[in-house]
Amino acid sequence: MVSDDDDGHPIQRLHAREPTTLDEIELHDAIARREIAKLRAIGATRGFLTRALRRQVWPILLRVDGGEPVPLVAPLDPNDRAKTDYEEQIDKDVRRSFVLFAEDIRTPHAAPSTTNEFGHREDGEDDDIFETVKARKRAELQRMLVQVVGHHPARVVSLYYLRDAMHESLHPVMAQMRILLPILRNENPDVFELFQEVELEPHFCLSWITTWFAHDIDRFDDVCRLFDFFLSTNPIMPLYVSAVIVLSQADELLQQDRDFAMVHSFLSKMPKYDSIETWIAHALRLFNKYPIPGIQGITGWAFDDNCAALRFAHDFPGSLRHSYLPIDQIPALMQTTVASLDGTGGAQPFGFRPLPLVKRVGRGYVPVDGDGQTLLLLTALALGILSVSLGLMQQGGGGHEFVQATGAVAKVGVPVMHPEGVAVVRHLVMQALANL
Amino acid sequence: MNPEYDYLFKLLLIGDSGVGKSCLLLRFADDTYTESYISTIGVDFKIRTIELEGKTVKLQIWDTAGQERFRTITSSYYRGAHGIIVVYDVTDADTFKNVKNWLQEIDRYAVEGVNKLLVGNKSDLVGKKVVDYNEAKAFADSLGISFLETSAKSATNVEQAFLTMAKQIKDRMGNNNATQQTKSTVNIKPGQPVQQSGGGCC
Repeated sequence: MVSDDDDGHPIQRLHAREPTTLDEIELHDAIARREIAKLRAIGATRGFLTRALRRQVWPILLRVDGGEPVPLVAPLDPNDRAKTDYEEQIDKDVRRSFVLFAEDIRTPHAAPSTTNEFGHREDGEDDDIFETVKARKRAELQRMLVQVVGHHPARVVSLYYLRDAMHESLHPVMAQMRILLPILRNENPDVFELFQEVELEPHFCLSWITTWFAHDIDRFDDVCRLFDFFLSTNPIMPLYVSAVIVLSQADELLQQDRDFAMVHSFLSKMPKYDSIETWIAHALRLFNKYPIPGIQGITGWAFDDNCAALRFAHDFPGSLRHSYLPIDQIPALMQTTVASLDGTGGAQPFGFRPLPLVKRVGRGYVPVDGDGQTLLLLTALALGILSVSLGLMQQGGGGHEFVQATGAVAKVGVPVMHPEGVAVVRHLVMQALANL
Repeated sequence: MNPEYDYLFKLLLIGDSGVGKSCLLLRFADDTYTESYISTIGVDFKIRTIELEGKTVKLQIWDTAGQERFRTITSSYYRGAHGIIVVYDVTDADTFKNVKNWLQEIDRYAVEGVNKLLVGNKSDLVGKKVVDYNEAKAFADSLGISFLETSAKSATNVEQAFLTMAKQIKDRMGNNNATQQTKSTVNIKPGQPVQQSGGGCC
């Protein structure tokens, strides 16, 4: 593989398709004009081609590039590392997180003898040399990470895009992961049935969602391409990619033992794929086919009003002309999410609250768990109103056959929704019409 | 009964982040080792079939994320486990101190009578060792659970750890069924390289 494109090295084509000149011109043009909307459109469909271009585009998309008139976020002082309870954990994870990409993000001039030390560990190299090389490599990788990702853009990503996974509790993100279920139910009922049968919650994709697949895909360029995609689209998009991955291996999945462990294990492994572009295109189709309001309608689930997915278009618009929500106001939003979670109690560990009845009626009524009482109340109320109005009508004019008959139905209490009830009503209406 | 195996045991690996749970499992299931294993997110599991006293035992071993914030997920996997291995890092005193908390998690979430095993991993790092073998052994003895020091890196005692666990579960199952009672024959030495056992893998 050709290496990095620093220092005037030949730019490596990181895209599955060979980019046309037009694509490149369009991209360069959008960068020059800092057109976020245009860049997002490119990121969603084609990606940003090379690492050099990504270094320009990602900061623009995140609104953290120096050239922006009003930087959204003030850069953090690199010396001012926030002291948190997680300091030690973060350090542990940083230390062990670079193995996958060690080959990909090495510097171009690294001596050949030092490029493979992780793999050559078993060959009995001297421990001290190994440790030194490893330490140097680690420093190099960390520098690279800060250069590419940095504290400052990382804050933007975690608060505008990934904040639902940033709570102390994983409940918000785990609730969202359940939107896989209605998508699967519509796209492949057999897969959904398998999920139901083995009682599988979509835990298997937790690492996909929370790390944007960086934890599980070991081709660095593909991870970059996914990051292009996720930085350019709604924060819920990783879930649609997860759905695509499940659907793409449906045939094999359905042949697994119908056992929770086997299914979970099968799904948590990243399948082989030809091109990441196929997944991206398919995910976009699913996203358009099952937008979040649609999912809410299908399932009756209420998403948290402050979740990144619902607020993204408003808080982080694709145009520099539109106002955005200042980053320091986001923690307050997250606080209300926590408060509303407390309200849901522990009955449904990773569930949604049901969408308010009025909203569900507006989207075509969908019954949800816990609707029983509400329905009973509504029916009783309707029957009550009907009886009262019938009584009034009878007192007033009285004697109309249709009214009497309908009153009879109401008194007998045949539920109007019941086929029998419907037949009775139809019969009565026909009779009434004939009498007119 | 499924003809492929005589027993299916579900094991669970728990313990602080970074003590080497995934590496232990990788060594046991795939006989490989990687210097820097990426942090586990949520849960993962591997399978290995072993021969134990003439029986084919399929071990389904669940590996959990050690980080606190994954506790909501990982705790739901305790219930189905026949045996739980609590792992600490012999070079990190805090991870040993936290073993108490992990044992409480077991009491809270696992079924009563679940088999337990304490494992001190990274025993190859002799120079950095801070948790004394005898101290850990005394602690384990006081709770009546078995204890071993292992090294996923050098493969020391890894096989033994899982075999010990499997053996204990099998004995318990045997007792419950009031069929046969056999004494443990697995011989374990702390922190010493042991000959690779002949336990057949799939």
